Amino acid sequence: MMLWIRNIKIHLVRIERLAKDARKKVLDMLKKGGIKGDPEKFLNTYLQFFIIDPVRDEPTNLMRRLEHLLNIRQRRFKLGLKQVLPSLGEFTRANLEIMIEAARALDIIYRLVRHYLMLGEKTNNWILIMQLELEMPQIVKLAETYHKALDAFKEGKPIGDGIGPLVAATLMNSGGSAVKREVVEDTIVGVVERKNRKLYVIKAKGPGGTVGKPGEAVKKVIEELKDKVSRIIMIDAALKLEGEKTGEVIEGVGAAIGDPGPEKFKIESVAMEHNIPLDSIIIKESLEEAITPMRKEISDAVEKVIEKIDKALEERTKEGDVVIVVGVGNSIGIAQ
Amino acid sequence: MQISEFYTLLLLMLLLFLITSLIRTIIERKKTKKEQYKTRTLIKCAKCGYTEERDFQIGDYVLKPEKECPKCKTITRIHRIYDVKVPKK
Repeated sequence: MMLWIRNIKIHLVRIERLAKDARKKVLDMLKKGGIKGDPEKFLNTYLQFFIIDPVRDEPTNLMRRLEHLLNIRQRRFKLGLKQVLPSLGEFTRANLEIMIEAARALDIIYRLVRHYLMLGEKTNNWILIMQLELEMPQIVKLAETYHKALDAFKEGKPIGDGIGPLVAATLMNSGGSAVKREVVEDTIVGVVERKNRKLYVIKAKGPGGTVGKPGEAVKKVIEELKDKVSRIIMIDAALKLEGEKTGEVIEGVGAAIGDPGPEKFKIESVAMEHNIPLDSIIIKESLEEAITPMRKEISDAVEKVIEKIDKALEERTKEGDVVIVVGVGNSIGIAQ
Repeated sequence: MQISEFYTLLLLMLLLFLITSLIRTIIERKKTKKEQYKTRTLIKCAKCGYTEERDFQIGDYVLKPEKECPKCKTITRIHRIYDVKVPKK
């Protein structure tokens, strides 16, 4: 047990160093942006900011209650940043927001590992210590991934998760520029003709780091078009299994979106209500590849995804049909 | 062969196994550490298809208007930004 504790402590020092470095990077960005007031105090408020899960024993309106809480949290973050950094550009502020999220994730990992280590030592619980020791390599890898992601967020580089918005941006700008508008907060819809079909392409507003509200956008577009939509095609990055190839493109059905629930629920509900088939195309990548700068193998998948969309349009829709294409993911470093 | 000689041989074999596995672990750890990536920006002219690749600069984003195309003089745009593996020296 002594050896396990010693080993966990060595790893904990490494995680602490990563968490401190992440904190320093965010503080530097806040100072560089000309923050009003004490940056340390501001960051401390948001690093330990919490959200209380809605009651799950009573499922009535669960998704709406969760969405309400998530919206409040997002607005608090946005407003807080706007108040202390009014002169900073909208996109830089969005990037700073996700930098704080990454620093927060590292802080949570550090505090949790420390908690279980101290608890195991205090209660002499060797099972707890053994479990922690066995999980340490994966925990350290996760912490390193979040730390690597910080640099991408700081410099505004597209990340692996941005493959959905990248496909959407490519579609919006293929064969002339599409007519674009902000359909809901932080979410853009562009109308473009392709294969004699009318495509409503949805993506998060870039080049700032945001995921937008794709579910709400799909719902609004369908309500505007009143039963004219014949198909929904969703594109998203998905976690690959070890041994699988990065950038592999595969097809399926269902809402391809990895949100906490409300956006996925909205898409499924509206598709079911209007009886619209829901196709999905996913691009395989690891968690590390999803939150660090986009690898070339992932970027090269854009053409393969567009080929699959064209094939779906030809085989599963008719000329003149209206189709919604949703590029799900973080649009950092990707405009429209 | 006496029992003591047998145990010495066994110990020597075990020691040899431990040393080789230690060396293998160190070599593999070095191999994974050396894997480094570099971010590149691909600029493309939508009209004539001219492409140019350069290192990523802060402020770059996909679809950002860039310089004039040297072939057809239309404004080029950033087409892709991606990480490429830096070849091992």
